[in-house]
Amino acid sequence: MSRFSPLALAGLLAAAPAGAQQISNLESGRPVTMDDATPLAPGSLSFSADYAYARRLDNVDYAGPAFSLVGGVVPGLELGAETRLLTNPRLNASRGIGSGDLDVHLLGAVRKESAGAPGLAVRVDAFLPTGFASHGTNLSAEVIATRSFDSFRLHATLGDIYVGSTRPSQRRNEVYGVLGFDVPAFGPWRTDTVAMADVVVRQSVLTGGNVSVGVELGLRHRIGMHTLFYAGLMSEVAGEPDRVRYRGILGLTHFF
Amino acid sequence: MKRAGLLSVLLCAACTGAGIRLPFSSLHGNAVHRFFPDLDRRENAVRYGRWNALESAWIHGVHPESDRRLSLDLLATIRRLPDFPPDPVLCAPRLAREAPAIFAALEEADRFEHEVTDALAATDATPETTASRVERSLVRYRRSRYALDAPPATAIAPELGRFETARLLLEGDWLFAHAAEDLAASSWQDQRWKVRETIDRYDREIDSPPAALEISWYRTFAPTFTRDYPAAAELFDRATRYRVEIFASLLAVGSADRRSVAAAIERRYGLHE
Repeated sequence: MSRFSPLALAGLLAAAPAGAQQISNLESGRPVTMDDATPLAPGSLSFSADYAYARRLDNVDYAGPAFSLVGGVVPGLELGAETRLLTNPRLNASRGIGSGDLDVHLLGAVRKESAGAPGLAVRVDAFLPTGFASHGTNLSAEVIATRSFDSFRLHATLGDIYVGSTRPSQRRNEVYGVLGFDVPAFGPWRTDTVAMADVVVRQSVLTGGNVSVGVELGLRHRIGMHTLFYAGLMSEVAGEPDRVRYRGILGLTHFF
Repeated sequence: MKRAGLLSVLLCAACTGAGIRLPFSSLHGNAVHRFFPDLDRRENAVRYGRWNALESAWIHGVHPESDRRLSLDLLATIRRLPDFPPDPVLCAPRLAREAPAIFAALEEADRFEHEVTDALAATDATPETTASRVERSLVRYRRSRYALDAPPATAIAPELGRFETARLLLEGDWLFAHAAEDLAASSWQDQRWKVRETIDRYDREIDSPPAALEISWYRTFAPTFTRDYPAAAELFDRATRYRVEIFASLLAVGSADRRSVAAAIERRYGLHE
């Protein structure tokens, strides 16, 4: 890489137009599973890159980078794509954790939050088998609700993953739910940092398997006019014997 | 790799010159933040003050106790000099959900102000490029369903002047208007020291803001800007009046009757959800 290119890139990134997305607009998986019911504004584009490391109780750990690109298409509708690369891809693929699969999603706002009702959105994902040892296309659909209070916001998600090509003893439909909150870490006079926590409850990938319960903590911190740093920590406190003991994630999001 | 980098910069520059907007081809985005950080931080503090004061007035009404608390927080924020503007959704959540049209109009006015001041502060600003950028922002603003219509003229409640927070925020509006004048009336070389002088004056005056309520800052303090960009100046003064009228309405009826306040303001400014 020459000296010129990073400088040019930094200049271009710093010159991103005003009016792009705010720190309160959450993105699922960055850093926690919870999402909010607000799609990106039309014309906005966000690019994220992160690295996650997970330790499992069976010591088959995995780690790897992820990249995502999300854009507002029309008012109330966003389109995004992301992929994550993992170590131990073959072993993880047999557990339903794809490495290099492409996740394409649409997030559509159903209604904005009002005094009497929460904001609602519907998200549809297609997990395309573009990765290593992939095993068919999976689809998911979820409903997301966001309710703000005077000092924090509550987010809930209820969804279902349809596994297109099941392995023996694998469940066809996995239902999951997420409940969490976020809060400006230093109050309304300093909104550059948002802290969040959620609980993820998910049916096992195996028929008759144990329901897993994960607890996640996360932080989004603004480090530039259009750049966010995020970090998260997750642990599955109940579930299968090979569940995740803990998982850490560090990443950056830039809004164009 | 070097060629690819050079090519992308040339492509972006060519597109900007030709008026074609790529997502990251702008050379003037965030110009105030990049080239006038001292001004930007003070303006960010004022933006924090505007949102938090409106949220507080919306929830608790306008009274001496909340005014005392707010003015202390605002002064602390002005001294802290925040690097980035506030996130309105986190500053004023109740205003956002109970009066979405009023909230969205405030956001639009904020965004318009950002775009115009950035256009003025751009390194490649010429009368032609600035005029075209301001015009583009005007077109975008007017297309928005939350653009403010001109309200019928009314007097502003003079008792607002009793409140420290209102005076501090209007002093902040003075800073915005004066900075716009400095940027509009000067060459790139002169902008620096003129803006510096304005900031120094603002820092001196912020501890004892004038009691008189002035809401036509641009018309009064930014003659060159108003001459060159009359529509933008009028819209900025209209946004100031809009914020002041929300306060004044809540002062008159209290927070208990928020819905009627919101309906009256929305009618006056042609807003609808």
